[in-house]
Amino acid sequence: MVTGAPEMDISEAAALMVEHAIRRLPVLDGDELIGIVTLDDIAVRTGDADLAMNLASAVTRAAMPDFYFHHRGG
Amino acid sequence: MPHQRLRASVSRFSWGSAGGGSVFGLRHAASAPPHLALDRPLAPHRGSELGIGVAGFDDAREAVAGGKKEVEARAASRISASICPRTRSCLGVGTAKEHGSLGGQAWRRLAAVRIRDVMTESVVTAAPDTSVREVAEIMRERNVGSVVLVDGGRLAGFLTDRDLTLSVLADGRDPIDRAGDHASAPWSRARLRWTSRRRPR
Repeated sequence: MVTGAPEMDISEAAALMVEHAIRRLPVLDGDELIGIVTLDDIAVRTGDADLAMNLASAVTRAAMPDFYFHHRGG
Repeated sequence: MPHQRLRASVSRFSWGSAGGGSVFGLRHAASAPPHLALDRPLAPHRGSELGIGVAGFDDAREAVAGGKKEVEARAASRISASICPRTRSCLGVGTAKEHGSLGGQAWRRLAAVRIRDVMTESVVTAAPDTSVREVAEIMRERNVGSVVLVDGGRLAGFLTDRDLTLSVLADGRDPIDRAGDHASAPWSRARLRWTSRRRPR
Protein backbone atom coordinates (compact mmCIF):
# COMPACT_ATOMS: atom_id res chain seq x y z
CA MET A 1 0.00 0.00 0.00
CA VAL A 2 1.24 3.46 -0.83
CA THR A 3 1.77 5.43 2.37
CA GLY A 4 3.30 8.66 3.49
CA ALA A 5 5.46 9.70 6.42
CA PRO A 6 4.69 12.75 8.57
CA GLU A 7 7.93 14.53 7.72
CA MET A 8 7.62 13.93 4.02
CA ASP A 9 6.96 17.14 2.18
CA ILE A 10 3.74 17.39 0.29
CA SER A 11 5.38 17.76 -3.08
CA GLU A 12 6.42 14.18 -2.56
CA ALA A 13 2.95 13.24 -1.38
CA ALA A 14 1.56 14.89 -4.49
CA ALA A 15 4.04 13.05 -6.68
CA LEU A 16 3.07 9.74 -5.11
CA MET A 17 -0.60 10.49 -5.69
CA VAL A 18 0.01 11.36 -9.30
CA GLU A 19 2.24 8.39 -9.87
CA HIS A 20 -0.09 5.83 -8.38
CA ALA A 21 -3.32 7.57 -9.42
CA ILE A 22 -4.59 7.74 -5.86
CA ARG A 23 -6.17 10.52 -3.89
CA ARG A 24 -5.46 9.56 -0.34
CA LEU A 25 -2.37 8.57 1.48
CA PRO A 26 -2.38 7.00 4.93
CA VAL A 27 0.35 8.52 7.06
CA LEU A 28 2.46 6.07 9.03
CA ASP A 29 4.92 6.87 11.76
CA GLY A 30 6.91 3.67 11.73
CA ASP A 31 4.14 1.10 11.71
CA GLU A 32 1.59 3.25 13.45
CA LEU A 33 -1.19 4.97 11.57
CA ILE A 34 -1.17 8.58 12.68
CA GLY A 35 -3.20 10.30 10.02
CA ILE A 36 -4.40 10.49 6.49
CA VAL A 37 -3.70 13.06 3.85
CA THR A 38 -5.94 13.46 0.84
CA LEU A 39 -5.81 15.43 -2.34
CA ASP A 40 -8.46 17.66 -0.83
CA ASP A 41 -6.34 18.29 2.24
CA ILE A 42 -3.46 19.41 0.08
CA ALA A 43 -5.72 21.58 -2.03
CA VAL A 44 -7.70 23.13 0.79
CA ARG A 45 -5.16 23.42 3.55
CA THR A 46 -2.41 24.93 1.46
CA GLY A 47 -4.94 27.47 0.19
CA ASP A 48 -3.57 27.46 -3.31
CA ALA A 49 -6.27 27.29 -5.96
CA ASP A 50 -3.94 26.96 -8.95
CA LEU A 51 -2.06 24.21 -7.26
CA ALA A 52 -5.25 22.41 -6.36
CA MET A 53 -6.48 22.57 -9.92
CA ASN A 54 -3.23 21.31 -11.36
CA LEU A 55 -2.87 18.55 -8.84
CA ALA A 56 -6.42 17.35 -9.29
CA SER A 57 -6.09 17.31 -13.04
CA ALA A 58 -2.74 15.55 -12.86
CA VAL A 59 -4.15 12.77 -10.67
CA THR A 60 -7.20 12.40 -12.88
CA ARG A 61 -5.06 12.21 -15.97
CA ALA A 62 -2.89 9.57 -14.34
CA ALA A 63 -5.98 7.56 -13.44
CA MET A 64 -7.48 7.84 -16.91
CA PRO A 65 -4.58 7.58 -19.33
CA ASP A 66 -6.78 6.60 -22.25
CA PHE A 67 -9.23 9.37 -21.77
CA TYR A 68 -8.89 12.34 -24.06
CA PHE A 69 -8.64 15.57 -22.15
CA HIS A 70 -9.30 18.58 -24.21
CA HIS A 71 -6.35 20.91 -24.16
CA ARG A 72 -7.31 24.43 -23.46
CA GLY A 73 -5.63 26.68 -25.96
CA GLY A 74 -3.37 29.49 -25.11
CA MET B 1 1.41 41.03 -10.45
CA PRO B 2 3.33 37.89 -9.63
CA HIS B 3 0.12 35.94 -9.20
CA GLN B 4 -1.06 36.77 -12.68
CA ARG B 5 2.28 35.87 -14.15
CA LEU B 6 2.08 32.48 -12.51
CA ARG B 7 -1.38 31.90 -13.91
CA ALA B 8 -0.26 32.87 -17.37
CA SER B 9 2.58 30.44 -17.14
CA VAL B 10 0.27 27.68 -15.96
CA SER B 11 -2.09 28.03 -18.85
CA ARG B 12 0.63 28.47 -21.41
CA PHE B 13 2.53 25.40 -20.48
CA SER B 14 0.39 22.95 -18.59
CA TRP B 15 -2.48 23.16 -20.97
CA GLY B 16 -0.46 23.88 -24.02
CA SER B 17 0.87 21.69 -26.75
CA ALA B 18 3.17 19.52 -24.64
CA GLY B 19 2.73 15.89 -25.54
CA GLY B 20 1.66 13.31 -23.02
CA GLY B 21 0.28 14.06 -19.62
CA SER B 22 1.68 16.91 -17.67
CA VAL B 23 2.37 17.12 -14.02
CA PHE B 24 2.78 20.68 -12.91
CA GLY B 25 3.93 21.44 -16.36
CA LEU B 26 6.43 18.63 -16.36
CA ARG B 27 6.10 16.36 -19.30
CA HIS B 28 5.93 12.72 -18.47
CA ALA B 29 9.06 10.74 -18.91
CA ALA B 30 7.66 8.96 -21.94
CA SER B 31 7.85 12.11 -23.97
CA ALA B 32 11.05 13.38 -22.43
CA PRO B 33 14.20 13.70 -24.43
CA PRO B 34 16.32 10.56 -24.04
CA HIS B 35 19.40 12.28 -22.79
CA LEU B 36 20.39 15.80 -21.95
CA ALA B 37 23.76 16.84 -20.72
CA LEU B 38 24.19 17.74 -17.11
CA ASP B 39 25.16 21.36 -17.04
CA ARG B 40 25.79 21.59 -13.34
CA PRO B 41 26.48 19.09 -10.61
CA LEU B 42 23.47 17.86 -8.73
CA ALA B 43 23.35 19.54 -5.39
CA PRO B 44 21.56 18.29 -2.31
CA HIS B 45 18.37 20.04 -1.39
CA ARG B 46 17.57 20.27 2.26
CA GLY B 47 14.68 18.24 3.47
CA SER B 48 13.21 17.27 0.18
CA GLU B 49 13.64 13.80 -1.17
CA LEU B 50 11.84 14.68 -4.32
CA GLY B 51 14.50 15.76 -6.69
CA ILE B 52 13.96 18.66 -8.96
CA GLY B 53 17.23 18.42 -10.64
CA VAL B 54 19.45 20.13 -13.12
CA ALA B 55 19.62 17.07 -15.24
CA GLY B 56 18.23 15.16 -18.09
CA PHE B 57 16.15 12.07 -17.67
CA ASP B 58 19.07 9.64 -17.62
CA ASP B 59 21.26 11.83 -15.46
CA ALA B 60 18.52 12.33 -12.97
CA ARG B 61 17.73 8.68 -12.84
CA GLU B 62 21.36 7.71 -12.51
CA ALA B 63 21.93 10.24 -9.77
CA VAL B 64 19.03 8.85 -7.82
CA ALA B 65 19.96 5.24 -8.50
CA GLY B 66 23.47 6.05 -7.37
CA GLY B 67 22.23 7.01 -3.94
CA LYS B 68 21.86 10.74 -4.41
CA LYS B 69 18.32 10.96 -3.27
CA GLU B 70 18.19 14.66 -3.35
CA VAL B 71 18.73 16.81 -6.31
CA GLU B 72 17.70 20.36 -6.73
CA ALA B 73 17.18 22.76 -9.52
CA ARG B 74 19.52 25.66 -9.53
CA ALA B 75 18.76 29.06 -10.96
CA ALA B 76 20.73 28.42 -14.10
CA SER B 77 19.09 25.12 -14.82
CA ARG B 78 18.19 24.31 -18.37
CA ILE B 79 16.54 21.03 -17.68
CA SER B 80 14.89 19.81 -14.58
CA ALA B 81 13.45 16.51 -13.57
CA SER B 82 11.43 15.28 -10.69
CA ILE B 83 12.10 11.88 -9.28
CA CYS B 84 10.08 9.76 -6.99
CA PRO B 85 12.53 8.64 -4.31
CA ARG B 86 10.66 5.46 -3.53
CA THR B 87 10.35 3.92 -6.93
CA ARG B 88 13.36 5.77 -8.25
CA SER B 89 11.40 6.55 -11.32
CA CYS B 90 11.54 9.80 -13.12
CA LEU B 91 8.20 11.53 -12.93
CA GLY B 92 8.87 14.19 -15.41
CA VAL B 93 11.41 16.18 -17.31
CA GLY B 94 11.12 19.58 -18.83
CA THR B 95 13.15 22.61 -19.66
CA ALA B 96 13.40 25.45 -17.23
CA LYS B 97 11.68 27.67 -19.76
CA GLU B 98 8.78 25.28 -20.00
CA HIS B 99 8.52 25.13 -16.26
CA GLY B 100 8.38 28.86 -16.10
CA SER B 101 7.71 29.89 -12.57
CA LEU B 102 5.86 26.65 -11.98
CA GLY B 103 8.66 24.13 -11.96
CA GLY B 104 10.57 25.92 -9.27
CA GLN B 105 8.08 27.85 -7.28
CA ALA B 106 5.04 25.62 -7.16
CA TRP B 107 7.10 22.61 -6.21
CA ARG B 108 9.13 24.63 -3.81
CA ARG B 109 6.00 25.96 -2.20
CA LEU B 110 4.83 22.41 -1.83
CA ALA B 111 8.22 21.36 -0.58
CA ALA B 112 7.96 23.82 2.27
CA VAL B 113 4.92 22.07 3.70
CA ARG B 114 5.10 18.75 5.49
CA ILE B 115 2.45 16.08 5.35
CA ARG B 116 2.18 16.50 9.12
CA ASP B 117 0.92 20.04 8.58
CA VAL B 118 -1.97 19.19 6.31
CA MET B 119 -2.97 15.68 7.30
CA THR B 120 -6.13 14.71 9.13
CA GLU B 121 -5.17 13.21 12.44
CA SER B 122 -8.51 11.85 13.52
CA VAL B 123 -8.60 8.95 11.12
CA VAL B 124 -11.82 6.99 11.04
CA THR B 125 -10.86 3.34 11.26
CA ALA B 126 -12.56 -0.02 11.39
CA ALA B 127 -11.43 -3.62 11.60
CA PRO B 128 -11.39 -5.60 8.33
CA ASP B 129 -13.93 -7.99 9.88
CA THR B 130 -16.52 -5.23 10.21
CA SER B 131 -19.42 -5.70 7.84
CA VAL B 132 -19.74 -3.38 4.89
CA ARG B 133 -23.09 -2.25 6.24
CA GLU B 134 -21.49 -1.16 9.51
CA VAL B 135 -18.79 0.65 7.58
CA ALA B 136 -21.49 2.49 5.63
CA GLU B 137 -23.06 3.49 8.94
CA ILE B 138 -19.71 4.74 10.20
CA MET B 139 -19.40 6.82 7.03
CA ARG B 140 -22.80 8.35 7.70
CA GLU B 141 -22.15 9.03 11.36
CA ARG B 142 -18.68 10.46 10.95
CA ASN B 143 -19.46 12.15 7.65
CA VAL B 144 -16.47 10.68 5.81
CA GLY B 145 -16.05 9.10 2.41
CA SER B 146 -13.46 6.54 3.32
CA VAL B 147 -12.70 4.37 6.31
CA VAL B 148 -9.22 3.06 6.95
CA LEU B 149 -9.13 -0.61 7.80
CA VAL B 150 -6.75 -1.42 10.61
CA ASP B 151 -6.05 -4.99 11.60
CA GLY B 152 -4.56 -5.11 15.07
CA GLY B 153 -2.67 -1.86 14.61
CA ARG B 154 -1.54 -2.74 11.11
CA LEU B 155 -2.82 -0.93 8.09
CA ALA B 156 -4.97 -3.30 6.07
CA GLY B 157 -6.53 -1.09 3.41
CA PHE B 158 -9.28 1.42 2.75
CA LEU B 159 -12.92 1.10 2.14
CA THR B 160 -14.25 4.07 0.23
CA ASP B 161 -17.80 5.01 -0.63
CA ARG B 162 -16.83 4.20 -4.19
CA ASP B 163 -15.76 0.70 -3.17
CA LEU B 164 -19.17 0.26 -1.59
CA THR B 165 -20.83 1.29 -4.81
CA LEU B 166 -18.68 -0.60 -7.28
CA SER B 167 -17.70 -3.64 -5.30
CA VAL B 168 -20.70 -4.20 -3.05
CA LEU B 169 -23.76 -2.59 -4.63
CA ALA B 170 -23.02 -3.14 -8.30
CA ASP B 171 -22.17 -6.76 -7.70
CA GLY B 172 -25.24 -7.26 -5.55
CA ARG B 173 -23.16 -8.36 -2.59
CA ASP B 174 -24.42 -9.04 0.87
CA PRO B 175 -24.33 -6.16 3.38
CA ILE B 176 -22.86 -8.51 5.97
CA ASP B 177 -19.80 -9.12 3.80
CA ARG B 178 -16.45 -8.46 5.46
CA ALA B 179 -15.25 -4.94 4.76
CA GLY B 180 -11.76 -6.33 4.22
CA ASP B 181 -12.95 -8.31 1.22
CA HIS B 182 -14.09 -5.19 -0.58
CA ALA B 183 -11.33 -2.84 0.44
CA SER B 184 -9.21 -0.89 -1.98
CA ALA B 185 -6.38 -3.30 -2.29
CA PRO B 186 -3.25 -3.04 -0.15
CA TRP B 187 -1.40 -2.49 -3.39
CA SER B 188 -1.57 0.55 -5.56
CA ARG B 189 -4.54 0.77 -7.84
CA ALA B 190 -2.53 2.64 -10.40
CA ARG B 191 -2.77 -0.11 -12.94
CA LEU B 192 -6.45 -0.60 -12.33
CA ARG B 193 -7.79 1.32 -15.24
CA TRP B 194 -11.00 3.21 -15.17
CA THR B 195 -12.47 0.90 -17.75
CA SER B 196 -11.91 -2.26 -15.75
CA ARG B 197 -14.42 -1.61 -13.06
CA ARG B 198 -14.82 -5.17 -12.00
CA ARG B 199 -12.05 -6.14 -9.74
CA PRO B 200 -10.72 -9.65 -9.63
CA ARG B 201 -11.20 -11.38 -6.36
